[in-house]
Amino acid sequence: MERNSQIVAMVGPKGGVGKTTISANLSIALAQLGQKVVVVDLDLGASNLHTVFGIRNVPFSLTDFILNKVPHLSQLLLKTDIPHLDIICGGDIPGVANLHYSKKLKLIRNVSAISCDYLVLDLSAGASMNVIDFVMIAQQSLLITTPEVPSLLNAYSFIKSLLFRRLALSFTRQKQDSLLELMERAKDFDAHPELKTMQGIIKETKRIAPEAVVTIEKILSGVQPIIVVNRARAEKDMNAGAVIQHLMNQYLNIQSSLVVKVREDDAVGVACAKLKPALLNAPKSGFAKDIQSIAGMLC
Amino acid sequence: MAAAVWVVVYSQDQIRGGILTKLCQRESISARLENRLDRLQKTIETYLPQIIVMDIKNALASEINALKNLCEQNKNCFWIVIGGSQDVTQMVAYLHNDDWALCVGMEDPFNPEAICKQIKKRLDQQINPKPKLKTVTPKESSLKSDLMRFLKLD
Ligand SMILES: Nc1ncnc2c1ncn2[C@@H]1O[C@H](COP(=O)(O)OP(=O)(O)OP(=O)(O)O)[C@@H](O)[C@H]1O
Ligand SMILES: [Mg+2]
Repeated sequence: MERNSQIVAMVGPKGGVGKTTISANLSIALAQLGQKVVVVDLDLGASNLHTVFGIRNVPFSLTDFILNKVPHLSQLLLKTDIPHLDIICGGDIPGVANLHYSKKLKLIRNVSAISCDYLVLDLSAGASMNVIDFVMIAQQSLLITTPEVPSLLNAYSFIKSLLFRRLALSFTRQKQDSLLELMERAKDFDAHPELKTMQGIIKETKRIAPEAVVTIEKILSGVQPIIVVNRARAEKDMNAGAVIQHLMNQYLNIQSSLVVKVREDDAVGVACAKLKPALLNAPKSGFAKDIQSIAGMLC
Repeated sequence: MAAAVWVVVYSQDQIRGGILTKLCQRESISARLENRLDRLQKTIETYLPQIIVMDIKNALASEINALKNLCEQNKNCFWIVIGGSQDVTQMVAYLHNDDWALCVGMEDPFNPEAICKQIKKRLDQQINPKPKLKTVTPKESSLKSDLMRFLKLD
């Protein structure tokens, strides 16, 4: 019954930035370091993690769990060819992305009960509650972005949504109605420019409910994403990660996020065409090296 | 402000609770032992600990109910439930059923080293994220001002 897994959530609010590619290959790299790894395709409704592993026929998937055909998620663990690495394939039933709240809670509970060393969650694009709620159970999230402006903007907005959701949950629990109302005001920049930054929100909290400042600070200190700049080509792409990190620090008071890069590499496309993970097809490629170094950092 | 307390141990059993608290302190984890429910609640409110260990060995039904309520009010904390096998199983099942309370059960025989290891692991994950990389200072670029404009931060 012990739940010891370190949960790693892959978030890439912009579609197609490399969540699935990195989830699969990072899981392999962790397994190759001797860790027991389970990777779960939680891109409900648009799953494709299994294809990266070359699994053509999915014998069972999350759909079976969602449709109550199997009671426990652990029954869906599928062995991969890689020692120590199991996968839970995603399902593709229409409307599944809008899971009913109670079903979602059941799924979240079952996911966090999976026992292994590293539980890697491949999530959908966007900043929906589905994604945010899964990020909340993770000890570590990897915020995946490409160096382009639209992806960087989404990355920043995602972290802001996550923070607001965490704060709102905490204030609801503590019945801090005045602070819930403050959070609502803070969403309207134009009307309340003074609440544009977390510093501004903290200042206002000090005035209306000073005892809650410590809660805010605690929540802020718990959000420490690793920013992954994927498809990086040049040194200046690394700078894109640093810029977003700096903005998150300056405006959202996120203190200790880190920036790493994963190179743009033809080896990824080549492996993809062969339905093989790049880490196995081209273990010496630049892409593989970058993924291995992230795995090393996590362990 | 009061000194930080990362771990609160709640136990009616002075020996079990005492050993565990001492062990934590020896590992430089600031821990505090409580054996009364009202004091436990006060301590949680004052110190907002990261981890609460609740020893439910020989606990009365009323005490169990009060502890369930406390868990419900403090879902941000990580709970470690220790005690007899059946009690622990029931408590953990209850907590897992209620929203997504974060907890683990560690059944008797009482193994303070294993519990302390679990505490260290959790603290490590929550307080010191594992990766230790240098943060990079961004070079001045138009990218920053572009992003700020889009985010309405300028
Ligand atoms: N470092 C890289 N170098 C080259 N190609 C890459 C790299 N990372 C990802 N790709 C390619 O980008 C495409 C999108 O990647 P992927 O499916 O992993 O993104 P995603 O974020 O999971 O997308 P979605 O939001 O649709 O789930 C794939 O064709 C993949 O092969
Ligand atoms: Mg994907």
